[in-house]
Amino acid sequence: MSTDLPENSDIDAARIETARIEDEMEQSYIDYAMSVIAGRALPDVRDGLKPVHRRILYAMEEASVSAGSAHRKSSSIVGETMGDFHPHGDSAIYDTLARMAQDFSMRYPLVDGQGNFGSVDGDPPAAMRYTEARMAPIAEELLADIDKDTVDFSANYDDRLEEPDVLPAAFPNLLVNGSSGIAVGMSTNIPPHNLGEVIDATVHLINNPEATVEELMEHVKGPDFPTGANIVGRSGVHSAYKTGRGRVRVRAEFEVNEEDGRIVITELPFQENKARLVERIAEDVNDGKLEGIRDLRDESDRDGIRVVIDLKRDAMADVVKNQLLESHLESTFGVINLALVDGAPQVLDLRETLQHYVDHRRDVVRRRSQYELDEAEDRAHILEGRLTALNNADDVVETIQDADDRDAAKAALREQFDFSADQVNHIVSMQLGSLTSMEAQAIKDEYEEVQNRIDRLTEILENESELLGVIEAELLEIKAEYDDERRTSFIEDTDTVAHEDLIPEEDIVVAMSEDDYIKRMPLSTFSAQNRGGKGIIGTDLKEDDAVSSVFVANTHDYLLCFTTHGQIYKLRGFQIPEMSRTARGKSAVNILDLDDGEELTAVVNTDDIAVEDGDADRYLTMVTRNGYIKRTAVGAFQNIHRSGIRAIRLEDDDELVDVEVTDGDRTLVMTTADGMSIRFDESDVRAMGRSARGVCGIDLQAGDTVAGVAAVDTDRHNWLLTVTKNGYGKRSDIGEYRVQSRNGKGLIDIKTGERNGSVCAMETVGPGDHLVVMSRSGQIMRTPVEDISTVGRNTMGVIVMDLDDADRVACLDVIPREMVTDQSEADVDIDTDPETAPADD
Amino acid sequence: MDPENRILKRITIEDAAAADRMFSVLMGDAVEPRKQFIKDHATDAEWVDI
Repeated sequence: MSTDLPENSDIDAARIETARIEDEMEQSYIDYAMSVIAGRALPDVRDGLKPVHRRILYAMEEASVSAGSAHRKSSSIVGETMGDFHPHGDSAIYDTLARMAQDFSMRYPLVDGQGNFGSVDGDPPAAMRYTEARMAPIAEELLADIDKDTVDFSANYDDRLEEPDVLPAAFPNLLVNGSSGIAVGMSTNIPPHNLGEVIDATVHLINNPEATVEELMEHVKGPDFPTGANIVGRSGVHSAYKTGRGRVRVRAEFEVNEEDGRIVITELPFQENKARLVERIAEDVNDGKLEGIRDLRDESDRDGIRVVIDLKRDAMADVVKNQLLESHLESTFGVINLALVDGAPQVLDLRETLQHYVDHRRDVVRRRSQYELDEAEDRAHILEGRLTALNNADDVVETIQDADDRDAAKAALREQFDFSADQVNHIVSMQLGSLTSMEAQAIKDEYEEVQNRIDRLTEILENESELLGVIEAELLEIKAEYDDERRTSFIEDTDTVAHEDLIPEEDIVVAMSEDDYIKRMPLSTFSAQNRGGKGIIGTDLKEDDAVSSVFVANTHDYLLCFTTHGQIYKLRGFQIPEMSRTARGKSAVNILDLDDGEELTAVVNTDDIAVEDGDADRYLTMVTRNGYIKRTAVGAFQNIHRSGIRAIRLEDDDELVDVEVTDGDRTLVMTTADGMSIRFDESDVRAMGRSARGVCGIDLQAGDTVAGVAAVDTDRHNWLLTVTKNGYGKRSDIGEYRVQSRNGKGLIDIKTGERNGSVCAMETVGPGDHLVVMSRSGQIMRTPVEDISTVGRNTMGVIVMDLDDADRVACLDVIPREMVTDQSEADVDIDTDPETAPADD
Repeated sequence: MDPENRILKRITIEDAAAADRMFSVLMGDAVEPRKQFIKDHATDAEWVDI
C-alpha cells in the first residue's frame, strides 16, 4: 500500500496499520459500548454506585472531608476527584456531587451540602465555587472499613494511585438510594427505598436463604421516594420486584377542599419539576383543556410544597380533580432493575439484588475479620515476647548489660529466649518504667484481650453462621442509627372514576368559526323566539372571521364530525370548551386538527348508533357539492383516530356537504343551492366502503350545487324545512315530494331569487322540534319550527331570521322535540305576529 | 499521544455492503439488532475505559 503522506511528515510509514471500516467500527463500537455499560452509566449491584459516585466519595475520604470535619468548597472536592480518579468534565462531576446532596433527589443524601444545591423547581445549583460540601454521616457507612483490605483496589487512570473497585457498603445502597442511567443499548431505573424496610428484607434473606420475592415484599412494601407522594396499585411494584421490570404509578398528594373550593397539592411524584407542572396546568387552563379553575398559585416555602388551585364557583371539585389526575398529577416510574454483577449488566429481581448484596458483605466481613485477625496475631506475638521478657526480667537485663552494642544484645536475647526479630526489637526499646508490676499487669490484660479477639475472629472466619450473624448485627445497627418513617404511601387503584361520569349530561349548542374557534354553550342559554327576529349574539368573532357551523348535541354524545375535505373525526361533547355566549371560543386545533380551508360541514350524533359495535343496520349517508351520494355502514368507522380518517373519496373541486344517519329503509331528499330537490329511496343507493366516491344523486343544472340531504323517517317527520342564505324559509308537507329515481333533475323546492338568496340547508322536522339558526356574523336564533308557515312546494316562504344587510345564514340545526320538552322555558306564544316581535338583542 | 509510540490507522472500504450492514446495526433505527450485537460481542472489548 502506498503512503500518500506529506514529504516532511514525521510519521513513520512503518507504523501505519490498515483496517477495514466495518472491522474498525465493530471493535471501536464494542469498546465504547462496554466502557459505557461497565464503566460509566450503570451502578454496581454491591454498593449501588456508578464509578463517578464512588470516586467522589473516595476522593472525599482521601481528603478527609468526612461528616465530622468542616465543609469544603465543592470545587476543591471536584478537583480532587477529577485529578486523581475521574478524568472527565468537571461539570459532570459537580452535577453528580450536587445531586448527592439534594434531599429531593436522594432518599438518603450521601453529601451534606451547604449553600444553594438547586430545588424541585428545577433551579440549578449555584456554581461549584460558591457551594460547600462534606460527607453525610450515612456516606461514611459506605466507606467504613475500606482501609482493612475489605475490597479490591485498581490503579487509577495514570497509574499513580489506587482506587477501590467497590465500596464496603455497610447498607444496601442500590435499593436504598436507587439509581438511573442510560448506557448503550440498555438503561437502568431503580427507585429509592426505605432503609429500614430494605434492611429488614436483607436480614430476612440472611436467615432464610430460600426466601421468595413475596416473602421479602412483606418487608419491602414498595419504593419510598424522597418527595413522598402515593403509589397507586400494587401490580406494578409486584412485577418490578418479581421480574426486575414494572411500571409504578405515582400520584401527587393533594387535598380537595370543597368548602373553600380549592385543591391543594402538597407532595409531587418523584422527579417532577414543580415549576414546570404549575406552568403546564396554567397552559391547559388557558387553552380550555382544563375547565373550572379560577386561579393557580405556588405557595411553597421552606416548610414544604403547597400549590393551590382555586376552583370556579360552579365547578365540580371532583371533575377538576379527575382532569388533573389524568393529565398532571400522576406519573409513571418505569422500573428497570439493571445493575452490574461481576462487571456485566443484569436485570435482577428483588431477591437476587439482596442476595448479591449479602454475598458482598460476606466478602467484606470475612476480609475485614482476616485483616483484624492478622493484626491481632501480630500484636499477640509482640505481647508474648514482652511477657517472656517480663517474666525473665533479671536475665534479660543482664544479657543486655553484657552485650557490646544493641545488635549484639538482640542477637544474644534471641539465642537465649528464642525471640523473633520483631519481638526482640520491641524488647530492647522497652522503657525501664514498664517493668513496674502495674505495667506488667496491663500487658497481661492486653494479651488476654487480644487472645479473646483472636478467638472471636477465628470463630467468625471458620463458622459461616457467625459471619452472617455479624452482618445481620451490623445492618441492624445501621437501621437503629439511620432508619426513618416511610414517606410514600400506597393507595388502592380504584380506577379513576371515568371523567364522564362526573360531567353532568347537558344539552349544548356548539358553534365553530372558519378560523377554527370552537365552543359550547348550554342549550338553555337560548330561549325560543318568534321567527323573523334578529336573534341574539351567539359568539364573538375575530376580524374577518365568520361562523361556519352550529350544531346541537349533548355533553355525553359521541360526535362524528365530517369536514368539507371528507375527513371524519370523533369527539365527545364535553371535550369542547364551555364558554359564554359572548366569548370567542378556543382554537379547535387540540380536538379537531383541520387543514386550512377545511370546515366542519356536518356533525352526526352517535348516541343512538353503536359505532363501536359496528351496528349493521346503520349507515352514514353523505352527499357532495357536485351531486354524488354515498352510503357506508357505520361499522367502517369503528377506528377513528385522533387525526381523523377518510370518510369519502372526493374528486378535485368537490366537497363533502352533508351527512345523515340512515337505516336502509328511509327516503332521501337532496336539495340544491338553486332550490331544486329530489327524493328517492335509500335502497337506490347501494352501500359502499369508506374510500368509495359514491354514485350520482342528482343531475345538477349548470352552476348549481348540492346544499344538503335530508333523511325522511315518516314516523317522526312531517315536513321538510328549507332555509335560504338571506334568512327566509318554509315548511312543506313531505307528501308533496314524490319519490323519483336517483340522478334525475328533481322538482323545484323553493324559489330562490334575489330576496331569498340560495338555499342554505334542508332539514326534516316534526311537531315540537325547534330550529337553531346562526348567521355568519354570530347572531343566533332559536325558534319553533311550527312558527314557520307551512306552504306548498315551489313557493317563496317567509322570513325566518332578520339579518343585517351583509349578513347571511351560516348554518342551522334542529333541536329535536325531546330536548325541547326537557326544558321548561320552551313555551313561547307562537301567535304573536312575527314581523312585529321585538328582537332580543 | 507520544510520537515515538503512536500508531496511525488507515481506514479502508473494501466491501461497501458489509460496511453498510455494520453501520445499520450500530447506528440504525432498529434497537434490537444493536442489543443483540452488544450481547454477542460483549467479551470482545479490548480497551475498556473504566
